[in-house]
Amino acid sequence: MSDPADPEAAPLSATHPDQPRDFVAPGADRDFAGERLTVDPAGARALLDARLIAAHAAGDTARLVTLYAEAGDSSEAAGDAAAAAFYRTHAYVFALQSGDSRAEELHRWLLREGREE
Amino acid sequence: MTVTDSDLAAVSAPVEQARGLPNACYTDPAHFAREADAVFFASWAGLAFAADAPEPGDVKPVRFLGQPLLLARDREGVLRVFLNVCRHRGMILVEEAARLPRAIRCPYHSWCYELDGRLRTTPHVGGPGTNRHAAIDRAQLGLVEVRSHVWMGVVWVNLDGKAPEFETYAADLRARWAAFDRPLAFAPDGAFELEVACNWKLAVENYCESYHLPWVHPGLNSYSRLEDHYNIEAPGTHSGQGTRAYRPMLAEDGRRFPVIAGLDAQWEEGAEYVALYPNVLLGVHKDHAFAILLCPQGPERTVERIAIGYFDTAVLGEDWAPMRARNAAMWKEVFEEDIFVVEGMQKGRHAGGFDGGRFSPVMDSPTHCFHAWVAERLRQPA
Ligand code: FES
Ligand SMILES: [Fe+2]
Repeated sequence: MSDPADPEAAPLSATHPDQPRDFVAPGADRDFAGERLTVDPAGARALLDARLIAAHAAGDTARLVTLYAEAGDSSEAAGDAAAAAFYRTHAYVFALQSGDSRAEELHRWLLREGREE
Repeated sequence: MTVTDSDLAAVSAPVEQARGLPNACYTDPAHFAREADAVFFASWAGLAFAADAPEPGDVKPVRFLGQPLLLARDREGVLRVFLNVCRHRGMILVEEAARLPRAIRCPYHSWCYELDGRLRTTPHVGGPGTNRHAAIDRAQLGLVEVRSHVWMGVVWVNLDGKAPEFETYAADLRARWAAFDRPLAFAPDGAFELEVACNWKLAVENYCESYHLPWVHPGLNSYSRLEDHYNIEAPGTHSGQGTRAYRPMLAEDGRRFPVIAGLDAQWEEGAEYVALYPNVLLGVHKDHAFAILLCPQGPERTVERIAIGYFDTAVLGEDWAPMRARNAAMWKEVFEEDIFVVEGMQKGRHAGGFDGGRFSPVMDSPTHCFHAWVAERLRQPA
């Protein structure tokens, strides 16, 4: 397992290279500038990607579970079952890796959807 | 130069006539590869120490004669050895020792394995978001397990899976050492490594015989004289030497390490040193034991890993630390004294005219016993 990288050094995205890692609180509906994330789905996606990239770079598996699970939830809310399964698969994998108890619930959902064994 | 059957026949001859293994057995990379298959993978060979993965969740990659293996201790504490390779595209699974909270995730496409080897999930294997496919039978795709067995703190493996049970292979030595067949507490500060520029066999050969003791270890000879020693020979599994006069170490304050209770006279007074073929050198005394793992790195390079264990867990306590340190330092000095001879014999194997050498029929028979075993393994049809 890799050591958590220095959060200061973790890359975010091309558009916001200098933002701190947690510039959007988990579950927040506004970004760092106070703008609503939902008014710009592409922007919201970019922010999620940035948070994921930072968590991947830091090797922060607990945060990866959280972020991928959130992405799964919002995909489901938006009626995109395929995207929900994709994100929840990732949440499940990182939960397995880190011994996170959320693995069981994610597994149950994937199983129900016919996507797991 | 290929080692022929007639070379090997000369090695297997009775000790009075026998020659030692020819030079190529010590210097030739092609022979080293042949030996990996015939001598190591077809036998029970020492791979690691159980203490290399002491706690549940511990994984440690070990390269063994080119084979990438993985030590893994599951949640229940069971230690297993696997090929360190993902069943998907053959990626190396674990690059560094770690204590894992749960699954082993392949860094390539994230197939996940439990620590007992079961394949837990195969993300996107049936397309994005679908982690199953009729063609992917998880029950058939767990990590490939290598036969393993733990004894005296050593993890033995049989890579080709065809050797008799370890219990059978080591039965004679276990019976001989029944008095010592009890848990050993290994002190982390009693572990050290030596890197030597010689073929692994020379370390076995030198360990087996007491002939060199008065010359190479004059310090030992002051309390363990040559005439107190005897040979041990069990053709096909092990050989070595014993002493009838083991003098335990005395602490500054006059204390001695606690000893196994109720030993018979032989073990009250004596100690034994045996090579269990091919590559584990063991020593037992009434108060401690040690294991030397010979890890061949190439035809002319060997890493020796030494671990010292005690029969009484109390010895792992703080108050015994200085005495443990002295014991480890004493053994380290003895094993270091042997380095110039094993390295010197290695250099000697580059003399093209050397014929493998001759044995003292009296003093060298444990070494000849080992050579005869190696020769026989090499003659087995592949
Ligand atoms: S090689 Fe391991 S998941 Fe693909
Ligand atoms: Fe020696």
